[in-house]
Amino acid sequence: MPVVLQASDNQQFTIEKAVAERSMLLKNMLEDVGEAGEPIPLPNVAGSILKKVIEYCEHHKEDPVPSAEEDKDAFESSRRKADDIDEWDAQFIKVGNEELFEIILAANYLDIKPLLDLGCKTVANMIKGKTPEQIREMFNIENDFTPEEEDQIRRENEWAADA
Amino acid sequence: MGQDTSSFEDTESSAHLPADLDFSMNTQISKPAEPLVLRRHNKAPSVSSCSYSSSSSWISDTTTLVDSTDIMVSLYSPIQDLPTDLLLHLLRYLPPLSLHTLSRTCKPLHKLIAANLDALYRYHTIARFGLSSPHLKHYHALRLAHEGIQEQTWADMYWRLTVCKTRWVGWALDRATNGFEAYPMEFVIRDVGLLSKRKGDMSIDAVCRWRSVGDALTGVSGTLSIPSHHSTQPTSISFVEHTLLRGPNTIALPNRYVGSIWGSVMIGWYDPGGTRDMRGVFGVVMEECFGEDCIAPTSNLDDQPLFDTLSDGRQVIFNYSGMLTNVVEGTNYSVALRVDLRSNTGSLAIANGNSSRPFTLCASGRALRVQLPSPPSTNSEALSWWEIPRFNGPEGEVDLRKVGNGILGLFREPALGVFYVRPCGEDQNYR
Repeated sequence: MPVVLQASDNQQFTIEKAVAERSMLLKNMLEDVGEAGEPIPLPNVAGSILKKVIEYCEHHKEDPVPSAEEDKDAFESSRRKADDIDEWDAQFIKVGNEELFEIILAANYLDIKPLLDLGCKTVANMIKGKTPEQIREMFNIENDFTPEEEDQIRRENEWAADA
Repeated sequence: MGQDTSSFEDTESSAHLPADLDFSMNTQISKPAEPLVLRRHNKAPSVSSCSYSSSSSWISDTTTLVDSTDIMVSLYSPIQDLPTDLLLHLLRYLPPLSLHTLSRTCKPLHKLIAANLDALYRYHTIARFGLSSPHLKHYHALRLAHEGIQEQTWADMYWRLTVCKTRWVGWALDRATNGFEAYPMEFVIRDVGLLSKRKGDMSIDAVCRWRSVGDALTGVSGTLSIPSHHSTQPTSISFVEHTLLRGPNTIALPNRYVGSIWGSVMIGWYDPGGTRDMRGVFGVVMEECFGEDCIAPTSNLDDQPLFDTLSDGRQVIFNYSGMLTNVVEGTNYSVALRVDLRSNTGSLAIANGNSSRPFTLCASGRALRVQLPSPPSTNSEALSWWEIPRFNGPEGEVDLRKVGNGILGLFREPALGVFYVRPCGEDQNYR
């Protein structure tokens, strides 16, 4: 039974149930209300982003769903290194900043943990090794420190830079 | 080494990580939350953020007018527009060094990170070093107990452990010519110094203690190596036992060791340049991973670092997960060793091998042994490294020794595997 998703801009996408169930939000919704055949409105996700999310879910539809216990496990999380990204995923997530964060928000809203992890890892990789100036430029952050404050905070963090 | 970065008096940021952050890695954030309210670079939408390089020409407001058409344009700073709880989730993926760098970009991020810094360090400390305890109070005790030093913050503990400055306990497995004899080994890194600021390598001053060899103490010096400029994490170690400080003079010196560091575990070999028959291996675990964990010690830790897993009354199913290094081949594998102590059976699964092997457990003295069935007699070349009987004794026995939250598997190649311990089943209630 296919599932129809309706994005915030009213675009509709018909997908397999197995694909939809990569989203815990949709999975729970389908379990609760059954397969009514009506489009499921997703007011927080634009059509272009939903299309991308569906592409991810299509590719990963055969993946085992991580259990809640595994997710909570400290050891598993410790192995969740930011540079540990699958090749297909790495290509998939090569998008602009705006789209990347829209995907993260959508993954969070739709409760697709692996996609949320992928987005967060990607942002973390973008930040790693950069200077504050480069990070500001990359994410359009205004430097609202006064020169004195900036100097103070730089000195506070000097030890970490030397560690 | 840890520093308190929350120096700004204005601490209005009230977003905090949950206290149990370390054990709720899967923070389910299903409801949109308020974004961190921040000022940001304002720029016309046509300007690429990649090419933008100056902040002086932009108006500091959340909206601006474009040309004279009175069209209100929403300004976009993606990381700052994330809901705070989602931003905190993202921050957990950043290593501490990057967290500090990010906190230097603007005041709101500085406040948010400063307000949650200890929780973030706590998360990184527990996750990275594989600390696993059913009692959260244990972590607090650990943090305060290191050689009587009052570590005030998780940052202190994180950076101390990062440079491996602690007591390591485990086993050395002797070379083939000495019958693969296992010796309890303790290794205490007493002092660490920066060797090269550019490369980041560190010198170590340490001692080794060999309780079964006349309780000998040997002086050690060596190097911790950091792989890249942007990392603070040493991943390899080399050291030389050069001086006999105490004990029988039958101990031959110097002895050279090289090893890899995996969070709370150090694993490697000694006399690495020697022939196969002359090589030995060692595996040690940070003492921070000892304590009130899922398998209770049956003897005083100071006297005997080996734990007995079978005499404890709380026999439950345990998963052992971790790295197994075939030292001879120099290849790393991910393995999951599942053991049911109630039935004394289990399976050894290779994460990237799509296969598993059943085995039985049996107690042998204070050690726990895994007995593997004989491998198929045909097509022996296709067998994986973990087909133990191929290069081990005829019974395929492997000594498994519990050390802190790790299980050391003493293969008689000699090779040595290390598994982390994590409880499952009823003991998960504490999470």
